[in-house]
Amino acid sequence: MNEAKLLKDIRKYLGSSTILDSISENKIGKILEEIKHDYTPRHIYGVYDVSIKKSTILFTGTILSINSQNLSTVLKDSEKCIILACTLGIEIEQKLKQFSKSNIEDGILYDAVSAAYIESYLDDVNLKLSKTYLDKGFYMTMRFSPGYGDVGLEVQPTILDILQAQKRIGLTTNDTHLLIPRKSITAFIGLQRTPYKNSEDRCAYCSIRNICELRKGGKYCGTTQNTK
Amino acid sequence: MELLKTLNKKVLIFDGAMGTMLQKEGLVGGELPELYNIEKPDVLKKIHKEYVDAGADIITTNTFGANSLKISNTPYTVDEIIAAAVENIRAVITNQLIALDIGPTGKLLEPIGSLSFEEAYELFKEQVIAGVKSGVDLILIETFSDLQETRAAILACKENSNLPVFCTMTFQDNGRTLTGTDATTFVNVVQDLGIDALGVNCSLGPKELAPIIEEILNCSLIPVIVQPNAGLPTLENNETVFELEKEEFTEFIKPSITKGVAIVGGCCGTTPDFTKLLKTSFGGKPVVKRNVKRKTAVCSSTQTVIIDGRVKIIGERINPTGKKKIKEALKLNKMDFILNEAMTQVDAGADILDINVGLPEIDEKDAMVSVIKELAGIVKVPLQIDSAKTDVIEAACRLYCGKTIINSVNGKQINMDKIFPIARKYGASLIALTLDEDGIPATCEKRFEIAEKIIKEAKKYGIDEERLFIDNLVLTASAQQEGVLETLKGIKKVKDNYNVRTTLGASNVSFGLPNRHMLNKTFLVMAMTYGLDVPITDPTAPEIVGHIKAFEVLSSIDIDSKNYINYMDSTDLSNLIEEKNTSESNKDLQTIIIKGLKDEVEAVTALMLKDSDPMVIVDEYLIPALNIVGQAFNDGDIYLPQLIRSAETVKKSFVIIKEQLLKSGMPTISNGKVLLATVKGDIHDIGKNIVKVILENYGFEVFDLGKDVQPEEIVETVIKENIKLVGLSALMTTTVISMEETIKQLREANLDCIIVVGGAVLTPDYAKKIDADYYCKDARETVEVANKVFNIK
Repeated sequence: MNEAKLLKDIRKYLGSSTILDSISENKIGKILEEIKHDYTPRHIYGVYDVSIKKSTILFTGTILSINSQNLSTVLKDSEKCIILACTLGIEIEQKLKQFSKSNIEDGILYDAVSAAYIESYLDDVNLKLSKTYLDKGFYMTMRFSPGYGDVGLEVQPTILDILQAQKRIGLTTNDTHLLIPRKSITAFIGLQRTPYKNSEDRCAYCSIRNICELRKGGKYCGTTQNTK
Repeated sequence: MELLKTLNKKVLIFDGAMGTMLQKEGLVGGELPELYNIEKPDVLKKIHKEYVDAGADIITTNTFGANSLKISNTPYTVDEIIAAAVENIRAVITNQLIALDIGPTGKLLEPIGSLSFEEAYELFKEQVIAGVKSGVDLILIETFSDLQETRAAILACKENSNLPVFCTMTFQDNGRTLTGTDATTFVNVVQDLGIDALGVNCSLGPKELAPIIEEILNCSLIPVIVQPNAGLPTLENNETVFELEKEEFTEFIKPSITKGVAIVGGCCGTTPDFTKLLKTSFGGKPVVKRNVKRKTAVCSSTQTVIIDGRVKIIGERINPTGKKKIKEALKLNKMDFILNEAMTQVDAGADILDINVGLPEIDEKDAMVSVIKELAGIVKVPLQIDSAKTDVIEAACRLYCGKTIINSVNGKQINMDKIFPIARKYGASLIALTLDEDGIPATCEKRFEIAEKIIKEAKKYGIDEERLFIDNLVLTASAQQEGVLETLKGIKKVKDNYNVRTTLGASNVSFGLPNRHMLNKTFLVMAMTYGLDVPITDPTAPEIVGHIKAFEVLSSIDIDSKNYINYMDSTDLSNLIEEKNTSESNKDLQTIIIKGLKDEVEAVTALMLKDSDPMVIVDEYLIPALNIVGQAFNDGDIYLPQLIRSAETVKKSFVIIKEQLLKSGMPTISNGKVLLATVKGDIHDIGKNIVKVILENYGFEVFDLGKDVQPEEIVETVIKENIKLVGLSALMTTTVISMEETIKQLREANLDCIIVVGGAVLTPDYAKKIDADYYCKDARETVEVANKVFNIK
């Protein structure tokens, strides 16, 4: 786990680009230890052959088809695509709920730490997979989540069905297709024979790129928002 | 049905996997396997036939996801799919039994998810009725992770059929289900719901499941069923492969059979070949007898408290009788206060919490249901349901996910006739009061007679002695001094004669005498000496828990005094901290707020209130400090955690100030009523919570409706509470739509209220477009708007 990036992400979620006051930093350290100790992130994935016709991506052996220019661009050279889902689980929800009622300060710290932690866990999974597939002669594309660019969250239920995510890791969606439990991520990663080149626009697939204050000021938040 | 008569006598064989078999027949990812029942019946018949030929005694319908939620986008009804599924089996069986398969709904239940318990119940009910109509022989509830959803499914079976019910949950390698239920809790919660077998399936192989199966065999009073996967899955060439061959699979299951498993089958990755080997290895062999004695267990969804000699505490504080603040909280539906009362008691050492919300001014049933919903999502210890009303008890037992204690039943026949059926149906234990039609008897002997009557009556309902907590009702020492000893003797007598547990409301004894606490503590120690198991008391009262720990040392329950030493170590530490705090309490209140010293603010506020006007403290200390912190946050000198730390420090100070105002009869501080909610469909509430605490700091009265709130609920609350300012939050593009809908409904109701909105994807323009009055980018702007709306300078 990349601790430095993890801490940077936590601070970023709390609105800071630098080290926080000592009380907050101490608390973050303790919460991080607690989350590592008490909660088990889980992930599942499947690998599917992909074909793209007129911006519609088909995943062989599944009922999933996605019409998206953005994802088509990402997967344009991919032979296969990994569909991945991970979650920090339901028990942390109870903790977050408890704090939202009794101690909002700790609540926002827990929220930030758990969000950064599951992201960091997924980075590790990503890294391991990239090594595995490099041995098989594949390079990975960027990780693309539902909610990025023109891919709506309505693909979530089908993704979860394909991976049997409810049964295997307890991951579900609500009526507006948000992932429940909340500290969860789904993503597509393409597998191609040549090295993948990232888009030059760092905000290419960000859902708030048109209203983002940072972007207007020529700055970059360091992530892609998926608030679709 | 002949076969079922051999249940728990001879080992029965269930069939194996369906999903992985269908994949081999061409089922693709994301496709609904249940549609094959109608669209490809030959495939189903072929698979069922293979399991019949392999020797399975029970064949499972291909209806795991056949609920109306999952099939909503198909042209078929639940009835049609289940009827076809049963026909596909009937076509190939000889004397085998047909099990209706019921899997989870696919949605998460409240409070984490949005599906209500009753909605889940209705989905299962539809399946059960269809199964009964199609003539299945039994129902298999399987692969559940959520105990509450499991309860909904079981109740749907029991209330809509007379069929035998088998029930399995799925456990992870940490010994818990994905929602945190351990095997012991699972067994204790479901085995008294009238089902016929329980056990585990899926997720792991027989090797990994072995310790979980053993745990279940050790506490289950009913037959145990096991259906493991063919080991752990791996991905090979885009295909899921399971690690175990049939021989290893069978070998790993063998120890569980020798320990008493009564029904065995396979889950993902198993095939008819596995079934065949299971049949030849175990089929028809006598089930190994287990000698399981019933324990007195009280459970939440994730924890089991066993009453077995150690004294356990039932926290009594959530009860409005004689408690002004709880009364207020219940009347105003202020759940935060009740929640904090619950957590304080747990921190102080409560093992179980008594919940009583009986107030003439409120709808007790509604209040009980909302308190239980709220607490069950947050507090880990089991809850005890305390009410005098049958309908309240029934509603609470139905909803509560756990094995609860009903407080109470008594010796009046009419009372037992009403309460015992509820306890039987929901598997609850009961507190039994030794009073009857003639009131509370004076002597120990008469009380014992009533206790005996209750114990015998309970047996008629299948409720064992271990599920009863006899309460010998202590009277006040000031009024009936000699009665106190009668109560204590009664404890011993009933325990000498029956395997029941005993409880007492330990705080009544002192009524009407000075230094009640002294009497309560002394009485508690006496009662424990006579054999009291679970006092109902206030664990936050000084030294109550300490006395229990000391008692356990002196009566050789706490071996080597380990618990006592640990407990004293931890409490001595907190005393030291308290001393330190008071010695530094001359710090300026403003500094304390800016630094966010939450632990010190109460003492300092209290000190200042001795010689300052409460409003002067608010205007000259709290508000200026808040402004300084707010400015620093705006300037980027401090970040969110510090801002909130200061805000919560102010909040604590406010609580003390408000109490003072209440005491002195002065009007309380309210700059105006504000409603806050995260709109329907959205579950992001951090921003809303921040706005809430800041608004409260500036003296606004906040009605927080939480997240995922229906527009109708918002409109209703605005009308009921006459609210002038409504704050709505939405984080996602998709949920801004329900924000728009909420605003529309508020406008259509012609309400005289101002609407302010916020959230990541909103802009001032967009806010205008959806007819909001204001857009606020953060909490500070919201305070400014609130000040404007309520004309605060």
